[in-house]
Order: sequence, then C-alpha cells, then structure tokens
Amino acid sequence: MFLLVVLSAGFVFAGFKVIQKAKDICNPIDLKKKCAPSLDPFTYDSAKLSRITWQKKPIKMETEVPLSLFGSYRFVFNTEGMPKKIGINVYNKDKDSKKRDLLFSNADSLETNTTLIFDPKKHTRKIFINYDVPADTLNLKIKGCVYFVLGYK
Amino acid sequence: MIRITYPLLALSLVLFFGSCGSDSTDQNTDLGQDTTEVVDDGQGQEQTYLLPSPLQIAYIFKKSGLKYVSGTTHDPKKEGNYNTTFSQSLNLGIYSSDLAYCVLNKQNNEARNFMNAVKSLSDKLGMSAVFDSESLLKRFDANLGNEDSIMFILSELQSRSDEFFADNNRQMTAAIVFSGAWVESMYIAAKVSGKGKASKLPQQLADQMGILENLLKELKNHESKDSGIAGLIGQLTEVRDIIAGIPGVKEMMESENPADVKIEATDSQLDALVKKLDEVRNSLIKG
Repeated sequence: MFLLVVLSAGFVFAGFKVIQKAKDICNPIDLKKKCAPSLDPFTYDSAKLSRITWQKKPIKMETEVPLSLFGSYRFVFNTEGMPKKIGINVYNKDKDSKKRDLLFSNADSLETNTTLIFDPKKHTRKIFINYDVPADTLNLKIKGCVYFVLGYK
Repeated sequence: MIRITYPLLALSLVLFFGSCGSDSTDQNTDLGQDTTEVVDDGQGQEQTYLLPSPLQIAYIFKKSGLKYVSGTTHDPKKEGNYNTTFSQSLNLGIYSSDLAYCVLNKQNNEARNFMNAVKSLSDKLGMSAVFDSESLLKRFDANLGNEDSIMFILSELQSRSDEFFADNNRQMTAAIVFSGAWVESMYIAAKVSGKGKASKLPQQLADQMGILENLLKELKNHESKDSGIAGLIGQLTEVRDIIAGIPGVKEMMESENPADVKIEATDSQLDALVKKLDEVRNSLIKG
C-alpha cells in the first residue's frame, strides 16, 4: 500500500515537473536567444510563440506567412517547450485547399531534435505553417509551446 | 494508523516540493506571455496571420532597385502632432518605415531624426522598455555609418517591439503600427519608382499583395475594438482593389510560379494608384 501510494505520488510529481518545464522554457526572450544561431546569416523579421494545450480532439493551427518574391527566407522552429511531439508541416496553400504541396515536415525528425530549420527553395507568395496537435486521449492535459522565427536576406 | 500516515507524509512532501518550484516558474512565465493561445472553438482549428517588419519591406524594395529620393519621407518634427493612441500608432509605423528607408540608403542624419521620432512615439504608447533605458539609442548613435551594425540594431528594435506587443496583449496596436508602416513604404515606392515601361512599381506593389491580404485579415480581427480601424480597412481595401485591377496581378496571386507572371500596368492605372496612396498616406499623417 505504502509503495503504491509513493509510486502514484511520484507519477503526479513527474507530471507536475513536465508541465513546469514546459512553462519555464516558453519564455520568448530565452527562446529568441536560442534560435539566434540557427537564424544566421538571415536577419530577424518576425516571430511567433504559440502556446498549445492539447484537447480531447486533434487541433490544427495554421499561420499564414506572406513572402516577397524578391527575398530569401529561413524558418526556424524551436520545440523545446513541447513535452510531447506535435506535427509541424509547412505547405504552399492553406488547409482548406483541395490540393497543396507539403514543403517541409518534422515527421521524420527525432523528438529530441528541438530546433528545425527550413529554407524554402521555390518562391511562393505565401507559406502556411500547420501545427498538428494530436488528441489528448488519455486526458493528460499536456501544455507547451512552439517558437517560430522568420529570417530574411 | 501508522501505515496510513507514512504514505500521506510522503505524498505531502512530494506535493510540497513540487509546488515550491512552481512559484518561481510562474514569475518567469509572466515575463513572456504567449502570442497565441489555442482555444477550443468547437472546430479544433485556428488561423493566424504573420506580418513582416517594416525593415524587411524597405530591404526588399531596396533589393529590387528602389533609390533614395530626398523629401519623400514624412517630417520627423511632426511627431508631436499626434495625440490619440490610434494616430500615434499609425505614425510610429510611418516613421519606422522612413527610418528603415534612410538607414538602407545611408542617410545617417535623417535616420537619426527618425529614430528620435520613433522613440518619442514609442514612449507615448507606453513602449519605453523597448529602448531599454536609452541604451539602444546610444548604440544606434555609436554605429551610425556602419550599415551592418545599424541593421542589427533595427532588427533588435523590431524583435523587442514584437515581444512588447505579445507580452502586453497589444496585437491590435501592432496591426495599426504595421498599417502605417506598410502605407508609407508603398507611398515611397510609388513616389520614387515613377511611371513608364521601365518602372518596377507594378511588380513591387503586386509583390506586396500577400502582406496586404494578411494585414486586412488581422485588422478585421480587431475592427470592433477601435472606431478608427473600420476606416483604415476601407482605405486599404481601396488600395488593394486598384492593385488587383492591374493586368497580371490576379494571375500572379493564383499562380504556382508567381515570379514568372508578367505584371503590366498602364500609366492611368499607376496614376490612380499613386493618387490613392497619396490620399491614404495624407489622411494618416494628418492625425
């Protein structure tokens, strides 16, 4: 009985720690500093911190990024703030389009790889970043964040 | 009885140490609020729009051949004329574009004046922290003439402003500031590029349509919060409609290879566009 309660408490504690860790590392100032080396030699343009709470059903978050045909760009994603992996997929068209091309995905990337870099080769007018958050089927109430920085040159 | 007390004691200790850590965590979290909170809207979907920095727009124009012409920028001495948050925000954007245009064209004295105007309006909007108690201004002065350093300082200013808007939940102000910056950039491009077959203005403006679309969507998200936004949306929509009417622009917007689509505007179309940009910009700087 004693062992069971201690083990349960340990799990609760671990759960708290995971949530705390996610909160700690969702500070945009720290995340910006961490992303800076990956942005080089591109110049900072804009950034977006998306704080994500897993829901009972899957969530799709889309960010529309306008690009200039005269510029070159770098997309840097930092996922240190996500306790569990989510899908990061970049397309040439929005989520309502019938036919769109996948330009970048973290599907094959290891969960431990928390910095992802994408340099679009082909010029498009807009790029659509999708964060695909799986359903929280076990009701773990997972919270975290993804930091995205856009650089140009 | 003892068998129950030990587990409870263990659990209490675990929870105690767990909660000790969370106080300091919450303090840290307050420094960096999120820009996007996913709220279950019943659809499980959320759409947001990214707006670029005025510096990037100025850089793109410069890269596509836009020259410096004296007298096209707004008067930095007029920064004191703006007394509402709305007009201050718009003109902060306008001066930010002018600053970027001067820096990229090595107009150091003018750049210094625009930096002062940007600082003054930022202070009025409660954004003094962005300048970090004058240190950013001192670094700007010390590096005038060194384009790389100045570009770095301006991108840092942009980054700090982005953090300020996010931390203080002032996305509406960010959208209004960017509206001013975008209009000023287009106004300068229209004034400097001129007309004729050699003019790059149609391509430059068509290239901006993606940004304008995002800006309009972002402004519509805040339309009910400030009475000035509806008017701004109306003005920007008129600009968008003129650009969209230029042959090639719609094709470019739908094309898989937009860089291959030729944009050809007649002089009368360019005249109409320049006139509209003049009208919109003048109404913004009037305050």
